[in-house]
Amino acid sequence: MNEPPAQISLEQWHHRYTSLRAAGFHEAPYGGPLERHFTAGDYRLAQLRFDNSAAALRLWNFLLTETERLFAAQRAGKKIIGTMKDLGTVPIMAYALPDTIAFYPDGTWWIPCIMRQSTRDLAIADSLGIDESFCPVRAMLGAFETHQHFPPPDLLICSVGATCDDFSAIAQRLASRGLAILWWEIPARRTPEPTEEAIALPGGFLAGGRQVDFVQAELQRVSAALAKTVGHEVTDARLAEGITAANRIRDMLRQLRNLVFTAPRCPLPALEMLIAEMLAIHYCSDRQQTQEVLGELLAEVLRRIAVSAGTLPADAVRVFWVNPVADLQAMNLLEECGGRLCGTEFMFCHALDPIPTDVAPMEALARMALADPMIGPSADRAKRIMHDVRQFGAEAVLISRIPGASHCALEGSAIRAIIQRESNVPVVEIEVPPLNEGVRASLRTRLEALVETVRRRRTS
Amino acid sequence: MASGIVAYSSPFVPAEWIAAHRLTPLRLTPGPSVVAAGAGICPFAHDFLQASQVPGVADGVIFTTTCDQMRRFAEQARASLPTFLMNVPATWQTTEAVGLYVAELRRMSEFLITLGGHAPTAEELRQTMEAFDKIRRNGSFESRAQWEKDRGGAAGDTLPMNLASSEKGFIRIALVGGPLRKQDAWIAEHLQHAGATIVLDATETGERTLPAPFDEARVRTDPLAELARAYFLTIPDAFRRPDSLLHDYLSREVQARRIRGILLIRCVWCDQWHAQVARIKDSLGVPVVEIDLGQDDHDTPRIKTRIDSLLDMVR
Repeated sequence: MNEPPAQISLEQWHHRYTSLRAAGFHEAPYGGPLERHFTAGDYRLAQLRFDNSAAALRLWNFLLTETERLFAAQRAGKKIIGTMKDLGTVPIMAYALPDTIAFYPDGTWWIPCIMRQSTRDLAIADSLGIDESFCPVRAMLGAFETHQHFPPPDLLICSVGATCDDFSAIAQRLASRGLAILWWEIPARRTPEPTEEAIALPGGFLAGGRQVDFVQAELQRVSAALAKTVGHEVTDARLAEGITAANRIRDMLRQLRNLVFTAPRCPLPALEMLIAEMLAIHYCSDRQQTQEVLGELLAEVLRRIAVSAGTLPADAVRVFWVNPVADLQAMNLLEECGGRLCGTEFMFCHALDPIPTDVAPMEALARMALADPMIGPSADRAKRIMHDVRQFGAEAVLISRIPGASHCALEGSAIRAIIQRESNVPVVEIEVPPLNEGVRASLRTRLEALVETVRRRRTS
Repeated sequence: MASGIVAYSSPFVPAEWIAAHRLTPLRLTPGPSVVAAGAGICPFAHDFLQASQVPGVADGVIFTTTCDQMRRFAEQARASLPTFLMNVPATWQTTEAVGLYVAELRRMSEFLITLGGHAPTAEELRQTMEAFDKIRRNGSFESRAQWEKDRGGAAGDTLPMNLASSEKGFIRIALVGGPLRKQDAWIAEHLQHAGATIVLDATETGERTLPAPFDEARVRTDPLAELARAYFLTIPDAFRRPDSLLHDYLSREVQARRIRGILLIRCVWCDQWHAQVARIKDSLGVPVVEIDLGQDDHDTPRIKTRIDSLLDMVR
């Protein structure tokens, strides 16, 4: 069943799938040929290039069946928790409870890309006054109106405070449509005051003890709402178990990232790495399956590294990518231009770092929530990026601006300035809309220029 | 060198708290900046930063987290001026949120002391609050602006929109939205020339953001808690979650003042106010026109046309 690693098209996956089946390939319940998702409306797949491994197929099938799995779970009587913005904290609490699934409606920000704007989501957002000057996450508004992408959640939770204004405004627009939202506050992370205890957070940031206490109290409110909705208390024992499971997944992702970003030849393409990392946030609505999907990817990567196989030329330029992209195809484009992924900071490194297990579970989650790179100073985030750039040996940094996002205009230039002050790594900023066709030529030129810059440096 | 002047912009920074520390509060309204803000950057936040950094204007500056870009500009301000970033919670209906606001006032006190301020006793705070409250109760909105100007002693802290008295035959208009800068004063003049009168200034720099009157008994027993209540629990704003205070306020005032049209003014790129437009249109039952203010005056003819279109709708 194993073929040399390659990136293949959707059409090529049709043939590859047939041969995998013929060879007795065993699939997960959500398995099947990739093209069925295209037929169902995921038209962007026709323009993407995918890794050709069975592990990657499972990853894609897992991702692209989330909608039907969520509806099936609700039909089966499970409680569905919609959690917004915090990217990683609340789902750990939700999955700690029996028969409970948490998902991020924020994830619909990829729907305009995946479905090539064939749905009404953005038009509905427009009609509600949330136009294209906002981040593509505005597609969430349409999704809540149509109920096509996820079922109506039993409880909707949103973190606010030190968040981007566009998300907060969009969530408020949802509330104005009659949806009850439990708002919880995440304060801007600050340097500890001399009069308070300095708490080390996962990932290395520091927070004042009073902030940790405050967030812990906020999470207690969330916990009470979850218990009321689900009918089970969020006990320390359950939370501890949830944290153990989260850490297991984070550890797998840490291994995967280390292997992929440091291997002499790239063993797994950028697109699949992006999707794999996203699983950490809410386990794509199935914690057990996330573990299995990552397990297969890890095994595949180890197998490829053992035989020095990869999907890209050995001299591909090692690029560190900052912020997720609205158009998945941009990840392919990097590789087409001669780059490879060598480190990422997709705005949720706090969902990848190990959660402390030496403090009470709720305090551990508060520390994790405060480690969110987006709630602190850009300098903190830049420092973290610099650390990872050095760790993975990246040769360039690419900052991908999210159209309309309130944080990008200031943050991108701040991060860029700090990286350039502290290293000689070239940095480029791009902006990627949900469908990049209109700007593809200029994107390609900028990525090619970045790759050429690094190659020239190698030889000089 | 300024003499104990502390600049700020957010209405959630209580001037009384700064004054009680024997420092001078300066609610700074920026004027035109010679430095371009750049794409995606809020012109007000940018110009506020620039104005606060002018030598001699202030000894320290306070930013708040009520706006994402203000929060991020605080990082830049630190490079050249003592800077305090105040966490103003977006949530407000919980005891935790009120507690955080009070804790942030205490933390601000430590900052003010580093600027040469003096930690006020409860009695000093009470007296300061009563002095401010008296002016607000006895005077008009304009007198408060004048008071702040006199206390500030530095240019730049006047509020640009003067509320016209209701004039017969003029169309009664409300201004709603974010903060205004000095250079935006022409909007009021244009409205007046076009036959309108502003009967409600609900912009951030207008009367919407005045704190509630203080309760005398509570000022006597716990002045800091009362200060927090009057500011944090009563000022309606677009960033608050939920934002029901804002919509209750607008609904009440539009009806009480017989407002016939709303000019919603926001800075370009301001998501919080842009997202309010459709809701305000839906809920208030009067014509609403939105204008977005950039950094330069190239857009003035376009904005004038939009203002005129609002008046056409109302006539």
